Amino acid sequence: MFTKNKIISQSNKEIQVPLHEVNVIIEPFEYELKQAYKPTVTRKMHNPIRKTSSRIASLRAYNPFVVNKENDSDDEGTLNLRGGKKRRVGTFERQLRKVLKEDNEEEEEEKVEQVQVIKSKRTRQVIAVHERDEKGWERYFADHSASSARTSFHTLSKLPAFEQKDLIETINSLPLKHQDQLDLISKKYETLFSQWYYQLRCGFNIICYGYGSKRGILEKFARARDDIHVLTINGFMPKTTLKTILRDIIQGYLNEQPRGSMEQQTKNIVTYFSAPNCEIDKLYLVFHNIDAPQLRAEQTYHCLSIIASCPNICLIASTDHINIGLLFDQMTTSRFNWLWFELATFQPHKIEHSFQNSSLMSSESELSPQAVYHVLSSLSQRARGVFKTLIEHQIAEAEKSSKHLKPKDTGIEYNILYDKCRREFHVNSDNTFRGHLTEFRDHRIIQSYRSAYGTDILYVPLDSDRLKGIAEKLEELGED
Amino acid sequence: MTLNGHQDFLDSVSKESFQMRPRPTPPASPRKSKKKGDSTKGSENDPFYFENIGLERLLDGKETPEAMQLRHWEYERKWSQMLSSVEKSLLIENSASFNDIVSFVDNSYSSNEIETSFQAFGLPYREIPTALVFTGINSPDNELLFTQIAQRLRETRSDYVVMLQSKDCGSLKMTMKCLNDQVLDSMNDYENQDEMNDADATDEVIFDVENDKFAEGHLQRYDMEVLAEWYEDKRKKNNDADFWKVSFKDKSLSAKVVVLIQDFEVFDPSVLEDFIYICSQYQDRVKFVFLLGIATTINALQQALPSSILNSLRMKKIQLQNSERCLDRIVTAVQVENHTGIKLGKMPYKYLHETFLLYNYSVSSYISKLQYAVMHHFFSNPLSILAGIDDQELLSRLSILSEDHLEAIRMQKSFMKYVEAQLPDSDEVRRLLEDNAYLESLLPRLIKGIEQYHKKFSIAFEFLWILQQTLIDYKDPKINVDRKTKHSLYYLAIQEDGGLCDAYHTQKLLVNLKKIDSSCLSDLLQKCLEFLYTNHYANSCLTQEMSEIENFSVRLRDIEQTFISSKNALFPLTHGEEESTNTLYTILLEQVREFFDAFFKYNLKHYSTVTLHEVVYYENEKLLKHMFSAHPRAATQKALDTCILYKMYLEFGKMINMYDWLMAFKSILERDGPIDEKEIQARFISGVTELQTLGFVKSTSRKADHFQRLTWAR
Repeated sequence: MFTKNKIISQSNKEIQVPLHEVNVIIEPFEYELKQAYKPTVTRKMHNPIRKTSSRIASLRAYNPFVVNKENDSDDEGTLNLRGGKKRRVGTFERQLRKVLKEDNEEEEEEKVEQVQVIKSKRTRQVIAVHERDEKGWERYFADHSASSARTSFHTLSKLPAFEQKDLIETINSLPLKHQDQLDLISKKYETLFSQWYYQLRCGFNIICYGYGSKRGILEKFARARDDIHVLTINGFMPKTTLKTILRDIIQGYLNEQPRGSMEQQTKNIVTYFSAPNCEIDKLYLVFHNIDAPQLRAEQTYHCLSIIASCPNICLIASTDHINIGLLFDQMTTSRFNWLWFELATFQPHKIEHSFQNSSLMSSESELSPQAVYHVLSSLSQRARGVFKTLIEHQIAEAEKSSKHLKPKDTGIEYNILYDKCRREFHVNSDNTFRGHLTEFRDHRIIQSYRSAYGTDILYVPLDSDRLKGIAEKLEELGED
Repeated sequence: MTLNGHQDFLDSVSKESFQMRPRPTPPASPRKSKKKGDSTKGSENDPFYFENIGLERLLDGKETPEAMQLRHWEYERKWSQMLSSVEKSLLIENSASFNDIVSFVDNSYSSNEIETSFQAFGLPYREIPTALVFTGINSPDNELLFTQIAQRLRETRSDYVVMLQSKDCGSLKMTMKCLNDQVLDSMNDYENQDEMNDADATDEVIFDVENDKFAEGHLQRYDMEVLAEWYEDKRKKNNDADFWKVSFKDKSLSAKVVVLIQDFEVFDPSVLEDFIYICSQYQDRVKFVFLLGIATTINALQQALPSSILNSLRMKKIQLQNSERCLDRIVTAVQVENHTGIKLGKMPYKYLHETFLLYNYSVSSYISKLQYAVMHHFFSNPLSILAGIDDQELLSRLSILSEDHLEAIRMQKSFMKYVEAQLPDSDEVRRLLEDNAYLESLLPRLIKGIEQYHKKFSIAFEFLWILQQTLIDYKDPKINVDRKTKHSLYYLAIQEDGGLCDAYHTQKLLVNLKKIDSSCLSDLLQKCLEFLYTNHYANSCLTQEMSEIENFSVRLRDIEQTFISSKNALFPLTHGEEESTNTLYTILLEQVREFFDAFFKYNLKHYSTVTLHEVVYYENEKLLKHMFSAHPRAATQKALDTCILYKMYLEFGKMINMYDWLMAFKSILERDGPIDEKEIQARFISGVTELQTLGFVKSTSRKADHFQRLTWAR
């Protein structure tokens, strides 16, 4: 008790409080004030919790973590401010209560209540402050703390199915808005063309960024003149790769077949175009979406930058990705010698996106209920029965469990499924059963793995909601 | 829709790329009189050449074609002048280190080196002479430097120079192959050249033998044995064959294999470790010399390689280039001593200065920004044709100037100031504003004035530099002067609107000048005079200043001769002291100070005080920032501020449930009444796909039908 008092008396006068500690005990407007006047605050404790402040001070002396923090309070960056704060408030409060409970004086009991009242008010205010301040990095840590990551279990299977073709048709049928303004913007950008020509000729390369499809503008640029050599590269097409780009240049201009490694081909191109007697005076490369996912490799930009650095080749590229800067390292940046133009056209990415398989649509890697349904409808009644037995098991397993199970965890052992199917007269021998399974596997509607006990586990890689939908459709099929 | 007419090309995309060749047009149309392969194609005789390369007629389209062409020519001329002066000064900066490297390579195996003594003692290991070339952090610049070093070594030496780059050397095999290829290929070139020169048939035979070795398949191209055998073969030949005299002028220097490893830090350490080990094992047969380019510190080397490997290297440090000194050189070449070219104005200079010092230390990117500034100046400023031209050119330019040009001159701020200064004389003002012929007759004087300002400025700037250096070298505790580099000194000159003379730094220098002793003063005067004597312009136009300094110098010598017997040097009079000799010296010192003060005041004026400085100084800082420091993310986010999906996105946590997102989207869309389910879904899908392409979300397999949020900061 004696030592405790001593510490209290020592630190009663003035306490060095790092920012995150302060905002627990001071008024919220003061907290904001502190935000403005960073970083360490030396302040005198005062109302309404002056008396508890001594407690807090003693706590700090006990808690090595807090003391430590105090020592290097200057290092307290804004980065972990938010994520860390919540947690620390919790432990802080707990310890505070613990210490206060140790003393049996009445006065202290009162204080506990007082502190709790203030505390709860504080927490609310702190949360309010969190919501108000929109600093991204603070949001980042808040969002990545475990509690806030909760989302619902709704899935898109509740929605009616949508085919890609259907989707494109619907999008195309939507009316275009603000057409006049968009046209005005585009017209405005067209006045830049002559400047672009001049800058490209002077050895710079141009990259256009900003929201909206820039394809229309760049195509116009490419076709604005008919006395120059232009090669348009559609980066947004998934089949466009470094290989095809080099091939097209070599076949188109060098009139030979591509040979050797990518670097070698690049070298050949540059040698051809840098020759003083080169037939082509300036080749304009118009590159749509240089940031396309399939191009994002070190080698691609390495080779492209070497080509672009050739004085006789002018590159004008467009990009959509917000982190485009990360694609180029110091070397390639210096070779590209970019001039950045903001070209916010606000035009829809119609062409560009029609090549992308949206993950919202049925994609190859993931099994879609439609695919399963199509396969099943072409199979025999008995095969459907086998499949139905399997998914009914999976649905039952998923419902039994309180947790959200992955499809893999709801699978069924080979032998058990065989027994079930035989009992329901779907199959009469192991051979036919195997035959059905092979058929399913060939269409990739079931998967299997070897369990820890060495038995094969079979499952359909879909969650229970989707399986239910399939089961319903199977019922319909069965009735037909 | 603007693009309606082009719907065909917009919607029909089936190939990865599409080629368009110049279309041969009928000669009937004069606008497009060019054909592919036509002799006038791309030539400057073509009447539309200049418009075709993208030049525009300025002055609301009223600029004459001649003036427009002139801008293009002037740009090419001025930029090539500026670039060559920058390159020359950078070469001077690096030449000392280059010489170090060359002499290191030359002496690496000479008899007085330790290496031989080791062998003489019969010690069991051999060291490879290695130069650690510290290059500074900017790797793009380093590439250029290493190419220059390689060129230099190839030019003058008989050695085989090999450049290994990390990107070609992913594995030991590739590294060895790269080494062998480069050595053997470079020799092929040599021999082919010799062949052409001498028409000597013998080397062809030798060469064939070489090829046969590979053909037989005894040895792979990545085997060090290939190099070793080939090398020994060459040396043998070198000793008895005559034709080697042609390529190797100096026979006493037997050829070495110089391996340049440009980006040491990027190499896989284990590859390098094995490579160095193998080389050291072959060292008795092949003379290797290594040049390791290190961008960071020597610690990187010590951490990457084990001590057993480090022991096999005999290292010497060579500092290659200091980025700040390079910047000094560039600034001197472009801004201070360049009297005829284009210069950066206040804000553009600040921008370039700061991006260099605070971001990348990149000489090449500085030069590229500079080029853009010069290019854009000529592209956008119709008066740029008057920049930095001599008297004769000026006369011919005057004939090109149209009325619009003169009007543009009258619109310049500095010209308005000039007119205001003439205000008491209202006739003069009227003539300036209304009489075109009068203005034209005045132009030569004004244009010449800019050049003279620059020349005087550069001399005064050099004086200030000499003053600073002398005071720093003086090393007296009483003197308290900051050391400023030339580029930061120029930064002061251009940032302070009052000019460099009013800058605190200059005033401090002048105050400290009063504290120096007589030897230091004579030193200072001597340096100033030396500089003046070598300066062409000063010899003709600054004779008065020159004689004044000479006068100071003579007087100082007189005072010294009279009184020096008692002391080694004379000190300025401090407060309370009374001594006759020092009084004379103090008076002289005060006069010198006054002279410098007046000289600086008159010549280190801010450029904006010079009439028609707009012709020479480039001021568009915003454009430079847009072009070179773009913020694609901020621009996109700003554009998305009207997007419903994006607004919702901002509210989500790290995981986004697609279904909930869609439902929220739907509820907002349907506020004004129900909308077709399909349309909502289609709009949602296209919107989310767009956000995905832009990099705001990505799909995740962690939870069914969820997307991951990727950005937080706004």
